[in-house]
Amino acid sequence: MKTIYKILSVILLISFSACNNEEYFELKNPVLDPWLNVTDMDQAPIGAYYALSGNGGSRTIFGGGRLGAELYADGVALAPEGEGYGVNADAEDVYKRTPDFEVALYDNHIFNSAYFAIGNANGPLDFIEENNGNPFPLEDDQENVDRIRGELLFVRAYAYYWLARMYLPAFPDDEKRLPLRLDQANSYEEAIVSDLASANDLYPIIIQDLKDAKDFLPETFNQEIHPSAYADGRATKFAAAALLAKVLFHTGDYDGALAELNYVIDENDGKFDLSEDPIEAFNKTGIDRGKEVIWYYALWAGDGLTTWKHPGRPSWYNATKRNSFDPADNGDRFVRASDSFLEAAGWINPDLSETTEALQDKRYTQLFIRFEDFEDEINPEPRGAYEATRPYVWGWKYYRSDADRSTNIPILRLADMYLLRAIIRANNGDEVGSLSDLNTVRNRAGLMDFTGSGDDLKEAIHLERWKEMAFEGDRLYYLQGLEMDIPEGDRTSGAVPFNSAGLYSEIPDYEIDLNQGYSVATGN
Amino acid sequence: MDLRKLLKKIISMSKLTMYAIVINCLFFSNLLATGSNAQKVQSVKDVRVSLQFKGAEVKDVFRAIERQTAFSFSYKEEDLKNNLKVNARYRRSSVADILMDLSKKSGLKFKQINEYIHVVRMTQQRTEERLEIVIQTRNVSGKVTDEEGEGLPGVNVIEKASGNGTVTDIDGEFSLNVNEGVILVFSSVGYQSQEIEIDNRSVIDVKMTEDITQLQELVVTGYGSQVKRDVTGAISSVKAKDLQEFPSPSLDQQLQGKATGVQVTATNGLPGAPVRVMIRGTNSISSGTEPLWIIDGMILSQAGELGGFSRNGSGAIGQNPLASINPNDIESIEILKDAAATAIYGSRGSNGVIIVTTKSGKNSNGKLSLDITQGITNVVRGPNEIGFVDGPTWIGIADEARANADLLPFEPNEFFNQGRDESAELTREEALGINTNYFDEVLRQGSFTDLNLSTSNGSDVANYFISAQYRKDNSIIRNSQFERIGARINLDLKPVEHLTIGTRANFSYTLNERAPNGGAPGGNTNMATGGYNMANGSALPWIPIYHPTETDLNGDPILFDPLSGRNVVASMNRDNYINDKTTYRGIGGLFLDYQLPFLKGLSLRSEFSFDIFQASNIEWGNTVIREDLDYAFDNSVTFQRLNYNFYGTYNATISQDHLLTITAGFENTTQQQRTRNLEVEGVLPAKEVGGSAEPTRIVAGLGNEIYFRGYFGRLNYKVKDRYLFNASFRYDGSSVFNESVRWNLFTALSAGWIVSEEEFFNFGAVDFLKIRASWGQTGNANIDLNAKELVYQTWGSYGDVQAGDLLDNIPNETVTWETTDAFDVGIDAEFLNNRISFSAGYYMQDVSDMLLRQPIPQSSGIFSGGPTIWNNIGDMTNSGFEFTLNTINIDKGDFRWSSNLNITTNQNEVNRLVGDDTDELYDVRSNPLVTRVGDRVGYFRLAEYAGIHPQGGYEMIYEMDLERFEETGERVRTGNTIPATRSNLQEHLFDFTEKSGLPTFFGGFTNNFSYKGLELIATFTFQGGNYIYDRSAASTTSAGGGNILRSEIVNNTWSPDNPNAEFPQLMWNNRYDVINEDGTISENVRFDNRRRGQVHDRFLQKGDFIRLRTLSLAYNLPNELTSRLKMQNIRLFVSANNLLTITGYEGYDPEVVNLGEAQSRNLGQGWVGVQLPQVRSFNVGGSFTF
Repeated sequence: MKTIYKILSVILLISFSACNNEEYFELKNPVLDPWLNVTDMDQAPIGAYYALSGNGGSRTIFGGGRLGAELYADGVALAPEGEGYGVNADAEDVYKRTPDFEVALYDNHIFNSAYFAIGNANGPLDFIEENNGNPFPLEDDQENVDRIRGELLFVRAYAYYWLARMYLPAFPDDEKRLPLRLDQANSYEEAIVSDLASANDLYPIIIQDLKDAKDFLPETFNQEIHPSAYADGRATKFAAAALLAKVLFHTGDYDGALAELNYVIDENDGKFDLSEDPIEAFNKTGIDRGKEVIWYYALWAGDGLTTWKHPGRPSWYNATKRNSFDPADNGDRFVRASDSFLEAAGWINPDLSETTEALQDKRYTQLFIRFEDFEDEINPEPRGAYEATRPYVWGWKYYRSDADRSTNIPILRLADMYLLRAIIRANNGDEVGSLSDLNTVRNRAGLMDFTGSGDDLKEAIHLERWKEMAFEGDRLYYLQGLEMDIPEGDRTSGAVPFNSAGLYSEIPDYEIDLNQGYSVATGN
Repeated sequence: MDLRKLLKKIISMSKLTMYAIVINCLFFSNLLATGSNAQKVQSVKDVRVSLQFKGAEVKDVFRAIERQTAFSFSYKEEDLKNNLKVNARYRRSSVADILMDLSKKSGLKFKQINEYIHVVRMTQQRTEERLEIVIQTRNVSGKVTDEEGEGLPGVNVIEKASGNGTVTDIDGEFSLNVNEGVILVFSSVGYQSQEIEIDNRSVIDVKMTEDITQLQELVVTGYGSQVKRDVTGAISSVKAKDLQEFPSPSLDQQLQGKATGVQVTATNGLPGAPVRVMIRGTNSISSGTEPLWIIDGMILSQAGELGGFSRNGSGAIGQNPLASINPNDIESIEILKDAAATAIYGSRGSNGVIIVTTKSGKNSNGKLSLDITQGITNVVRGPNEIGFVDGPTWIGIADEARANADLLPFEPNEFFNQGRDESAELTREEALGINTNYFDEVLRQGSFTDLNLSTSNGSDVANYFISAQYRKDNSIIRNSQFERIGARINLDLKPVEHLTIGTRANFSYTLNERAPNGGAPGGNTNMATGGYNMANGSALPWIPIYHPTETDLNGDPILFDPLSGRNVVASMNRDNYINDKTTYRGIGGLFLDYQLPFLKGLSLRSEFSFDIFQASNIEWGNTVIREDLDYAFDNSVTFQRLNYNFYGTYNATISQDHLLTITAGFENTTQQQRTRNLEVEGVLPAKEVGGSAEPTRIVAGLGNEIYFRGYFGRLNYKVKDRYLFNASFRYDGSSVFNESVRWNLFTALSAGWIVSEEEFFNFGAVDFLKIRASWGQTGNANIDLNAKELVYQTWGSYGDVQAGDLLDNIPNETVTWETTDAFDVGIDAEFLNNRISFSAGYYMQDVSDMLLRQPIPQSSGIFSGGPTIWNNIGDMTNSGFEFTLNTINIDKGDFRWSSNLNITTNQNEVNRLVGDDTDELYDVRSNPLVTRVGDRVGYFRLAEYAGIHPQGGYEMIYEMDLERFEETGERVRTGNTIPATRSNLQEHLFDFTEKSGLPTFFGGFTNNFSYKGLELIATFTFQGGNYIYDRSAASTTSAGGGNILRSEIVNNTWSPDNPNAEFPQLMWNNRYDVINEDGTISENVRFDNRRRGQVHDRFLQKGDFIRLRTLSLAYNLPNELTSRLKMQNIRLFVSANNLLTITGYEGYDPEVVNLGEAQSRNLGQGWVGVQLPQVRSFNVGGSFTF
């Protein structure tokens, strides 16, 4: 046996002497910390913006968000399936304002994309905050670090704003429903549970993020300071203020909103104006923008390959689809302008014929398109498959540049700001200021000044806004901001209160199943 | 025979044969001739006489005996000169007694040699025998050969009655003196013993038949080998002969049905496609459920290799890494199943270990073999077999479904992508006149050619095995083919005494031209890549291949709507689309084996092996299938895995009854991969990536790094040749885990008892009986290499070219090994002279800390539609029985029929999942499969179909008691039926806990018939107990989804006139008017399911099947003929694969395997859409040995 022991020990000795253990396991190309300098750090907001467009296909937060917002409101109606138009059952249910309904088509478009953006903002924000606002003191580049921080806060706020609108009852409301993630999960335990937020919890957070973002962001791109990528589709101080104005308005803080609007409209130093035709906001690609556009989402692909993030969903509510300029090629569209909207706008007569007023309005002529019934000799519905039995008017605010699907999407526009200030001023009794704002927008559209006052003025502002912002997913939130009922539109089911249960979706079941925050909340 | 000469020859034989002879020597010690009586020549002891002498001389006594018997004496006169007078009276005394008496008196000694008795004077040595009897009988000689007619050395030839015997020489020849009429027993390790009556023959030639029980064979056990008889672990062994019924594209496919406990499922019939191999069911629900493959000591990578090295975009099928190994080179495959066998592989052994040993030179005569096989392949069961409606019928059904939904008649143009292709227009009339069979545009008859050349030879100092292979498969999918060129050199050298150096080197080149199997333009490539799935999906039979009216400038027809992805003729044309994957692979190594001359029994061995893989995948498409510009993607991977081990083995015989073998050593494995991706637009012609065009994107990097280290040891202890003990350990560390949880110890203990060796064991019919039991631990470390890291991917570009960070992984620093505690008992027995052997066993595997990519909430922010995090999530038990039966049913004259049956059962149960015990894994977005504590992995949670509403024409389901569910969580029926509406399908779901996608039993049944040179082999494989949800049936029996439609729905859908139809009323928009209980009607209610997993069980079917996997008929030409041709052997064969399938499953094919990532293979198994078909092949071939 002695021999055996000897042999064993020799073998084991040889074996164990073969290594210095921990060194052996070191990777040659380990996973590095994501941000080692300010240049690295600039990839963080790019990722966050990118995340808003979702993880594949055409799942952008804008495509689905705007569709939902329009369908709930009264500006659109569904072209009849019986005439050959397409349909989507979820869209029908949203249009019906079905309460307690989980909208499956929001899954990827809004819920997932929003949390991608939030997740990709939280990590770098934590990193900056853990380093007291300046992770790279040796680089002496506080301006860019602040700008990055501001952009991340802006994207997070924007994503939360869509989530709040699509999944929460209108503000004010204290039902805790939506996962609240303000920090990066750093372990399994943190990943599987989150707090839940109500509208009352979430809106102040969005507002604070936007206020902070406004503080951190520069007013404009400065090529001496900023990387060239910042010139393109990125948030500035004005974007933060404009979005903040909209959120404050939506939550009823009109004074707060007014301050931001004044800043955006009056202090932009000529960066934004309404000197161009309405179409000019919608037909830009590359780094071009319409003069009124405060923030657009860039959809051109610098690398020429990343084509898949271009939103496809607007083809449901736009005359054309993303890869053709011809409405005859769009077999997807079925969300048309509602008759009630067209009537209110004065764009159709009771017999559905086109009005002169419509033809005078540049918005109508540039951003809408009307087809007669399919047998009409002059302007029939161009798509052979659609046997339209009457005229329909279609929105046409998407895919309008030469690059069709690569057309940037304007999200914050100056006309929106003017009209928002107009109604606040009108409500505050500042009718002169209000009329001035209203008519700035009207004149740009080729219309004469409005001269009424009182409720007429307010009605005129509501209507002007409806025309101006049609098919941009605005109407519902404007009415909610004013706590006005949401009219029935072309439906026959009557108007619903601004905080009706039929105006948002249930939280996706897959989140509720996996997020232990829900079982904590319900005690299950 | 000259003993020294014999030994010398033995040493010059191959290693294995040498082992065999050594073992023979252990068991049969009486090799040399000893004396015995002949029948006619009687012994002096047996012959009795009565004699009486008074003063007689010795000579007189001799003469007297000579007179009375047949003996005659010979002597020298001088030896008798002592003047002895004999006075004696012998009454019926034996001649021997008389001679003994004489010897005592006279000092003479006697030696009987046959009938002669030689007389000499004794010397003074005390020990001398007075009487020696030698019966010299007649000589028998002959040659012992194996089945191929080659001389078989080392065969024991023993006279049954006396034990007198010899062994055959190097040429298989023997010569032996025997008695008349005796029985000779011929025996050799690995061959069946034969008893032959010699009768009057003096030449006896014997052909030995291999012994299927192979108890004495050496079994490779990992870092060593052991005689099968002494193995205490559960090991299945498959030999080359059993693998070569017909040449298969990959060696794992050949394992189908061959080994107990090993379940092999072919993904599809495409050559080079991956195969799923599972040993004893699922031991993990996470990544690694595939066994560890070891080829000549090289541990193949799991994560990298089995995942394949290609970009499987455009639906291209991944490639089986084992496809680069030539199955003809395989000598044996050992499958290590229980922990006693696998614990020495520690952290990677929990899914079993498959050890592949390639051939080595061993035949001193030299051998050159040429094998040629050709075959044709066809679809076993594809869309044409299932039956789909033609173009006009499709439109008719669509019209009816639309009319029922108050919609206009069907309008073809709704289907076309006019945004991309304005000419894609078709009137209804045109459409009604078209009937395209897109299946035929995708499928074809395939064929293959397999050429294999090998040669081997050996001598005292060197032996070699060299082979080369060429194989080409034209797949059943058009425009796809697989080609392999491979070469192997196996060399063993003995430069000096005690030292063996050897190499194993395999080089291969494969080219896999893959057909697209994707769809409409999208993703990064933005190419239309329709293929087989598209033909089975929305390539509708009324859509023309060529435009009915438009032509190109030359007047030739143009493809119709090629940018939609539906026109598979456009994408399945190599002028338009190419997806070629070439691989160059070298697997090999060097080993040194040194037997220490100064320390008998100790040998040291070191193996260095490498696996180097260079794969390149070019995907290219032109503007026929892509808008804008041509596009090419070039993916190139260089992978390297190095393995080094060193271990010593010490064999000690403490005493005759105590044998000990100790093995100890260590092993290092490192792995790296460099990946380069290049994307280019505007490339013409194909493959000119990096030519004139500017690359649009380049990504390169080093990754897939693993550093692995293990220390191992094993002790085998055998007492009295019947009590067997085995202990092993392994201590493993991996770079995959954090430092604090990096190392783990895995141990195993096992014991065996060969009961049949016991003296008390006396059951004549039972030749061998062994009972064995084992316990041990193994692990699974096969997880994402970055599971413990915070990972951002940098690619999401926004606006300008700069790429942005996207959160890819949230770190879990505590994630560690999955550990399996395995318990195994078994019994191995042989009966009736080894004509029946069987093995039965029970196994139970307790898996703890199961690894899983655990789904985490979407709100966690990971950039993925289904974010997950690696975690140790729970425990599971996996158990079952294994049973193998080998029988020789008939062995009479030249006819022989033998059978092998193996069955394995498998059950699993989840014991714990993170959190409380109600936890379950269930993602209704993906599928209806649930994994829950107390139940099987992946059972179905479905609504329960309850027929068609007789008045409403819509589908009904059983109602669930929702109140009870709310209170207790139980899902029970109320007894009512309710419409299968969207909202009802969401809530009324029942747990079918007995129905899961993983089979509960599987096995194989092989029958082997031989008559003279003819051999017929039939191998059946079977599996069952699993369920398959035929998603394709669900989507192709309902109009409105834009899918092709199954013929079975024609005239079989509900209508007021046909209320008993099997299918619901055709309804384009899936909205029905529901008749409420109170008679009111709810209009336009949605019947489409909201989530993929919210469906009823109508399309859930049993997956049981039995398949005639191989039927082969071979003819070995007679030796007389082959020797006249100066050849050793000629074998001709015809065979067929997948000739017959018996199943109740109505979908494409019951042999389904859900590939994708490993997790979905387990948790998503049985959830099946359109499958690429399995193939039936008819083959002819010949094997020529010179």
